[in-house]
This record gives sequence, C-alpha cells and structure tokens, in this order.
Amino acid sequence: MTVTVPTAAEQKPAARRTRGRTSINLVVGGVLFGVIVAVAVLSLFALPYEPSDTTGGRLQPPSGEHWAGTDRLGRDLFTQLMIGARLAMLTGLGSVAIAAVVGVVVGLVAATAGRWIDDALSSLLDIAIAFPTLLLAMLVVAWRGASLDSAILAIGLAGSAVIARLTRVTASRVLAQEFVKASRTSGTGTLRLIRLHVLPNVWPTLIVPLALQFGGAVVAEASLSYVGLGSPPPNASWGRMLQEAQSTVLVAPSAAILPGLLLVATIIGVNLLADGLRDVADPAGRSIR
Amino acid sequence: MLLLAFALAVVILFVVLRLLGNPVYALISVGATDEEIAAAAARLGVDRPILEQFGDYVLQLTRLDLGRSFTNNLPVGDEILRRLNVTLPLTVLAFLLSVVIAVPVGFIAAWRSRTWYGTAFSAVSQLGGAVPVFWVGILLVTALALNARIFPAGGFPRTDWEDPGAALLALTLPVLTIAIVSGSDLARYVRSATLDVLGQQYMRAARATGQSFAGAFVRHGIRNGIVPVISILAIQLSTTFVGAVIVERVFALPGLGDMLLVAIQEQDFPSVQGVLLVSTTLVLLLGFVADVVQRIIDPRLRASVSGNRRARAIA
Repeated sequence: MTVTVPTAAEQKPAARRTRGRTSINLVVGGVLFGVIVAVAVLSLFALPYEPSDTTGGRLQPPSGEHWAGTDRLGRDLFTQLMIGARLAMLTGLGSVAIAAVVGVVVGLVAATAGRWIDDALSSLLDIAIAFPTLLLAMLVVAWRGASLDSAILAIGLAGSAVIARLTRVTASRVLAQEFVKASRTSGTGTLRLIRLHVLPNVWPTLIVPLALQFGGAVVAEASLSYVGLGSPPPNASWGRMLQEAQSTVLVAPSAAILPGLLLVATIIGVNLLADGLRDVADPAGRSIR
Repeated sequence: MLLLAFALAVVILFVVLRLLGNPVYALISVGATDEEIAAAAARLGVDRPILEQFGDYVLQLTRLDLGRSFTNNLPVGDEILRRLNVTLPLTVLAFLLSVVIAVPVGFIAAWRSRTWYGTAFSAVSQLGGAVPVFWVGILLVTALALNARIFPAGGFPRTDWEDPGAALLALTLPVLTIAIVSGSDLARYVRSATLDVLGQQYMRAARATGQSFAGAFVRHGIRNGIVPVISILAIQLSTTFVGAVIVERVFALPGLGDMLLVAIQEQDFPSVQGVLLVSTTLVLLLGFVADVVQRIIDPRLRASVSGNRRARAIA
C-alpha cells in the first residue's frame, strides 16, 4: 500500500487558507477534552452512587436523584458515565503510550540498522498498516480474553505501525544531516546520537498523529465493547453501555444517547486539539492528514 | 509483496490461534474422563505435533479448503461464502453510497470554503467522521424502525436473496449507517485534495489561457487531485468492510462479522482463522489494486519499480 508523503511545497496553499483558525480549534478542543478529563479524574475521588448499587428502580428517566436515569438493574447511569470517562482516558493514554514506545523503537531500529533489516521492517510495516485495527484487536481479544487490557494492547500495537513508519522517515532524514555527521565523526555512539539529536527532532512530528490516535483508540475500544469484547458493567465503557441500552431504547432513550454524545465529544475534542496543535507547531502541514 | 503478505498472514493467524485456549474444553462436558478428553482432541486433530498441523493447514489452503468448524463440523469455506451473501452487498452498497455522498460534499466544502454552506459542509463531515458507527446505527434504528416503522429493525430474510426487495429493505438502514460515517471521512479527504488542487499554479495558468474553471478543473485538477484520493478509497473500502462487522451486530445481520464474533466466543479456531484470512486477503488485494490504479493514472509513479520505495525515497 502506497502512502505518498507530501512535500512541504505541495502543502502550502491549503495552509494559507486556514491560518487564523488556530486558536479556535485549540480552545474548543481543549475545553471539550478538558471537561472529559476532569470528569475522569473526579470519578477517582467521588461518585454519586456505588457502581453496583441497584436501589434506584429500573430504567428510571433522568431526575434530581439520578441525573442520567438508571439502567435495567437500577444502577445509576451518571455514575457509569463517569466511570466510562475514566476508562476512555485509560484506553486512550494506554494505547497511545504503547503505540509511541513500540513505534519509536521499531522506527529507530529500521532507521539505524543496515539496509537489509530496514527493508524487511519496512515491508512488515506496510502490511501491518494495511491490516485493520479492529480485526487485529479481535484476534488479541480471542487470544487473551475480553478485557480492557487486551483492547488497549491490541489498539496500541495496531497504532504503533504508523508511528514506526513516521519515526523511520524522520529519523533517517535527521541522520543524514550535517550536524549529525559531524557529531558522529567526533566519536558519538549511535545510542547517544539518537538521544541527543534524533529523538528531540523526531518527537515533535509524532505529537499530532499520536493525539489523533487517542481519538481512534477510544472509538475502537467502544466498538469492541459494543460487540461484547470489553469489560462488563457496572465498570463498563461507553460502548458497552450503548450495547446494554439498545434493547431498551424506547423505554429509556437517555441511556442510548448520553454515552454516544460523550464519545463524540471526546473524539471531536481530541481531534480539534490535534488540529490546533498542528496549526501552532507546523503551519505548513494542515492540508493532508 | 502481495504473496509475502499473504504468507505472513497465514503464519501469524495460525500461531496466534494455536496460543488460544484449548478448544477441547468447549466440546466436552464437566467431569469428562481423560479418555474422553483425548478422544475429543484426536477428533479435532489438536493432539498432533504443531508443525504437522501447520503443514496440513497449508496443504488444505492450496485446495482452497478452510477446514471444518469445531462446533458444527460444517466446512468453514461454505459458511463464509454463505455469509458473504450478506456482508459483500452491504460493504459494496455502503461504499458506493459513501462515495456518492463524499465527492460533492467534499468538493463544495473546498470550492466554497469561504461561504457559510462550505463551512457547514466541512463541519458536518468533521462531525460525521467522529461518530462511532454503531451509535449512528442505534439512532437510525430507533428513529426509522422502532418509532417510524419504515424499515425492519434488524435481521435478514431467511430466503436470502430469493426475494431481492425484502433483502434490500433489510440492508437499507445498515448501508445508510456505514455510508454516513465513512462518507464523512472520505469527504474530508476529497476536501483537502480539492483545496490542494485549487491552490496550484497550473490551475491559474490554465485559467490564464482562457479555459473555463470547470474545463480547467476537469482537464487538470481531477487528474492530479484524484491520486491521493484513490489510495484513501482503498483504505476506506477496507474500513467499510470492517465497519460492516460491527454494524451487522447492530442490525442482527447473519454476515461475516456475526460469524467471527460467535466463533471467537466459542473458540472455534478454523472459523476464526477462515474469516480473518478471507478478510485479510480482501484488504491486501484492495491495497494492491489501488496501487495499480494509481500507477495507471499517475505516470510519475510508473517509472519506479515499487511505489513504496518511491514514497520512502521522497521522505
């Protein structure tokens, strides 16, 4: 599969068009994402009800006591939504961390090792990138059993291929520069070279793709949970809550709407944040994702 | 490249699936004797050396035989073909509809990017791309099947395609669901490709020679702008296919996705293996076709032996 990397010259016209919206993307994204993060953090310290408390009456509509209503066992949905926010943040952070670590290591190996290893790794990455995340995730879930850990591991591994390819490309470009050659000539070892020159130059190009992967990871986990391959309630992710709510949607529509809205808010928030970061960090890079 | 990828997929699937739990336990009852367990293992063929099992599996594959299901002992290949009757039309129709939505939306969003409706189109495509596909499905079912009762809420006619009207009606909402999400995604790429083309010097030069905007766009713009869009189309077609796996659950459709999920729950190796192998092959083939089409359209790519190498060289 070919993904043509656009040169800086190709990207300029579109960038000119969109300059000036920078702050809006960053602010709206920051606020949306910030609210979700705040809810997730708050859920660690204070919840309106115990997650397994079934005293609320079944499928109640939203009220003063139960802000989001109750599920079919009488558990408070607002509590579950807060826990869902925590799980979504865990999923995003965990899989992005795995993607970053695995991707950067593989990318650096490909960039610094010899031509043969580079070719082999690059072909492997092409295949890995073509392989759909969700199919890989289902394979991992089939292997390790349905749990949040399996989902995070699978989504992170799937995302690492893209990061590895980016790292490889940027790292080899940096390694070809004069100052790196000068440093190598003066006796700097490969590992120290990577730490001093390559990583600081590679890192900034990875921030935006990693931020986009955060949103992708949250959707992927929600999809897995929705088809029953996630952790069960009451510590359920938004995807699992939607699955539970689908059968009772006519009686309790709020249960089928609120988790979806939160998912969308999270994804749009983090995507806008990524767009805003890109506009700030790299004004020329907006046209092609 | 394609063959290498395929071989790799076969090996990985085989290895990973052999790491799974023991399928024998899915077949026997609680308190089975050692002899009964051994008999079940022998029947499934999982008691033999792993390399021997792998060799048999590869031999089977060369005869296009995907083995028999552990749970019902029916040929996996036949079952997959039967399921494709649902999944393939679903994927293809959804993909076509998403292109039909995405091209005008993306074009107008770029062409009229400074007007309110241009902005609205890009905002809607941003939003649509961020919505989980299964949630769109739930909302559509609730609105158009449960409340308005226009479409069936789920399921597929037992007679398969004998009654094409009923089959199409059952697929309408699933197709719409996938098309909304992947159409929005695609529209964003069409928009950025169009923006890119509109800002190019050759467009200005073409206008300066007296060509109309439409003429210049059709003659020069599309040929240039379509190259990145095609590689996205191939990826999009694979994500549409994977989206179908999820959406089949929303609408209780007996497709490939449903088969995969049930097989995972029942630890039915040959079925999981078969479905994943067929899906992977389809995805890889699509990528290959996209590469070829790109090379036909863009002569610059033809000069090099491998498009991948070229992309790497540029970077």
